[in-house]
Amino acid sequence: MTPRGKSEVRRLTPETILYGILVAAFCLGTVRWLGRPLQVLFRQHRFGYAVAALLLMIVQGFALERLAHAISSLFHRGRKAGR
Amino acid sequence: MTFPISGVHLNPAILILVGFVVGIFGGFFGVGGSFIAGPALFELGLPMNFVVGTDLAHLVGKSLVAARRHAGLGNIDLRLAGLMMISTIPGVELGARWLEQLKKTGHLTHVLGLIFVTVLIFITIFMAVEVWLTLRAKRPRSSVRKNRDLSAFSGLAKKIQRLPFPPYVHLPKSNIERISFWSIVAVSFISGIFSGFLGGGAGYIRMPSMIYLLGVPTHVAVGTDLFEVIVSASYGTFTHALKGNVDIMIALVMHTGAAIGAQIGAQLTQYLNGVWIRMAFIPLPLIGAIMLLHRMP
Repeated sequence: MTPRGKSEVRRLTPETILYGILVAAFCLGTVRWLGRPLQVLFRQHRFGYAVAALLLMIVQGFALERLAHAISSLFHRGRKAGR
Repeated sequence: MTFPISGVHLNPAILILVGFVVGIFGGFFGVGGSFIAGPALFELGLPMNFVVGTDLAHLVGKSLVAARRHAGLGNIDLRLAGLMMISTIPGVELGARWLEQLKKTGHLTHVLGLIFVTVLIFITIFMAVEVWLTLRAKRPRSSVRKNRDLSAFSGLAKKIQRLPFPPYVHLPKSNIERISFWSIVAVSFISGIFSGFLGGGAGYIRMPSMIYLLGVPTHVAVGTDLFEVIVSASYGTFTHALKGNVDIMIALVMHTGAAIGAQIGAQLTQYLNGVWIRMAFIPLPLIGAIMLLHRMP
C-alpha cells in the first residue's frame, strides 16, 4: 500500500468505527422507542408509514454519516491545534 | 428477535452479517446486491413480498453511504446520473406494470425466474470473455498495472458514441467527448424496466451497460450506478411500503452491517484498476443465478 493509501486508511478507520457505533445506537433506539408507533402506522396509516420508512433509511444512511464525519473532523482539528 | 410488522422471528446477528457482505459488494461494485440479499432473506424465512420491499429499503441507506464515499473519491458523474434519472423511473414503472400483467397469467415464478437466470448467466459469460480478452491482449504489463481502464470491447462503446441521433452530450468526467442523449436514455430506461420487473436496483445490468455500451470508466460507472440505485430504490421503497411489503425494522438492522460494509467496499475500489474490478464482479451474477435456480419449485 502507498503512503497516501496508508494515511487515508488511518484517517477513515476511526470515522467508520464511529459511524458504526452511531448506526447501531440509532437502530437500537428506533426498535426500542419507535417499534410500536411504526407498527400502528403500518396497520392504520400506510402513507405515513411509507414516508417514515424512507426518512428513517435516509437518516441512518446519510445524516449519521455526516455526523460521524463532522465529529471526526472536529477531533482531527482539535488534535492539530493541540500539537 | 420478533419483527412484528412482518410477523417473523429472525436472528439480528445474521441480518447484520448479510447486510455487511452485501454492503461490501455494493460499495465495491456499485450494485445493490439484491441478487444476494433477496435469496438470503428468503432462506431466513421472510415472506417473498417482504423480501422485495425490505431489500429495497435497506438499499436506500446503503447506496447513500457508498455514493457519499464514491463522491469523495471523485467517482460520480453527476451530469450522467442526472440524465439517466430522467428515464429510470418510467422504466421502473413499465417493468412493475409488466409484472402485474404476468401475475394475472399465473406463471409468474417460472417466467420471472427463467428471465432472471438467463440475464444473469449472459452477463457472467459476457464479462468473463471481455476480461479474458483484455488481460490476454498484447499490451505492456505496466499499462494494466497502472490505473488505466482498458477493455477489449471498447470498440462497441466507440460505435455507440458515434451514433448520429442529436442532441449530443459532453461528459468530461467520464472522458466522453460526445454521445447521443438517446443512448443514455435507452440504457437507463432498459435497466429501469429490469428493476421494476425483477426487483432490486438492477445495478447488475446498469453497471456493465455503462461500461460496455456507453464507454464510462469502471470506477465512474460504479459511483454513478450507486447514485441511480438511490433513485430507483427510494421510489421502490415508497411504493412497496404503501402496498405493505416493507418491514423497516428488518431493513434498519440489516443496514447496521451494510453501512460499514459499503464504506469498506467503496474504499477498496481505490486499490484496484478497472479490469480487476470487472473480474471480481464476474462470479456475482452467477451466484445469484444458482441461488435462484435452487429456490425455484
